[in-house]
Amino acid sequence: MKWYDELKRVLGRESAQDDALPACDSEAKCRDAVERIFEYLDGELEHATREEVAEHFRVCQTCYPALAFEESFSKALKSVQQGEGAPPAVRERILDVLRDEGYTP
Amino acid sequence: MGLSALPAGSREERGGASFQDEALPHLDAVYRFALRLSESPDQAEDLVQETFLRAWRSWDQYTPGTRCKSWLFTICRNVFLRGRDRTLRHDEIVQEQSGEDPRAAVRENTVFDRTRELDPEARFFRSLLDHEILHALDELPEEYRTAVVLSDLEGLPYNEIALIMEVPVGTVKSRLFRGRRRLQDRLYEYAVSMGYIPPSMDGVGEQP
Repeated sequence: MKWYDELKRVLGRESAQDDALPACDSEAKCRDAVERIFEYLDGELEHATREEVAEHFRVCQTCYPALAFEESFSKALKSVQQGEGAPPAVRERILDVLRDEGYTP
Repeated sequence: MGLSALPAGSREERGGASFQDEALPHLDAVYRFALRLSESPDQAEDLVQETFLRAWRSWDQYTPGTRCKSWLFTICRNVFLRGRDRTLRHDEIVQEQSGEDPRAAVRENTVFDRTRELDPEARFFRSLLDHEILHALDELPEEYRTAVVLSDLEGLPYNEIALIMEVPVGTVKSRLFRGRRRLQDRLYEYAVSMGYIPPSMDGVGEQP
């Protein structure tokens, strides 16, 4: 199953079950937006498409929760601090090994 | 390799300065990447050393100014993969190409399904500590983990990730989707076990 089919299946089930939410007036737009949710958050969409998708999530009560979820996850992940980097001793060892192979800055 | 036989103006003369300017500034980034691939800091150190050694040895094959960090990441990952158990990787690749994730069949509900009632904005993700998220990340199969690391931690675009992982962009998207889904599952289970979020009403996610 393609990755976005799985996402569509989930959201399709949600909207069918939940009568309290107004149905989106364009299923095709929901499909498009959902298929593009990661590309949208990853900044991979062209400007025009990006604006279209952003607008859809602004107005669609069905799709907005999915975006809110993915956005929260994405922010938590992207804000992880991985740490300082190589300890000085490791850096020195690497420079030594490189010098043995003829490296001179 | 007969380095001493090379003429003046060779890699040693021109190369050292450019290697210092272009490659060495990425040492910390390569080290952080190596930590995500490796099982221990010791292994990561060996991996970084080997990476820079190979980079230096093939420095004249590198075109200056062409995304050195990605080039180093490619070398690092390939060194890692060559050193790893090939059988395991083959099994994972076969599973991926068949388009089936056995766990997906068992898991009917995504974390989104399970948390949207109690936590509509998935705030529980924000209560997780950095080392908790990294630990869950490190549990992912390498193909998914690397895709997520390169996208979410390194901020690289899909086409760059595709070059580093030597796969089509479509495969990158697929690995990101699956990797992120699995990571969400792990983080949800962990958050439930830590009491950051109550288990969902249907009992999925409750500890035995």
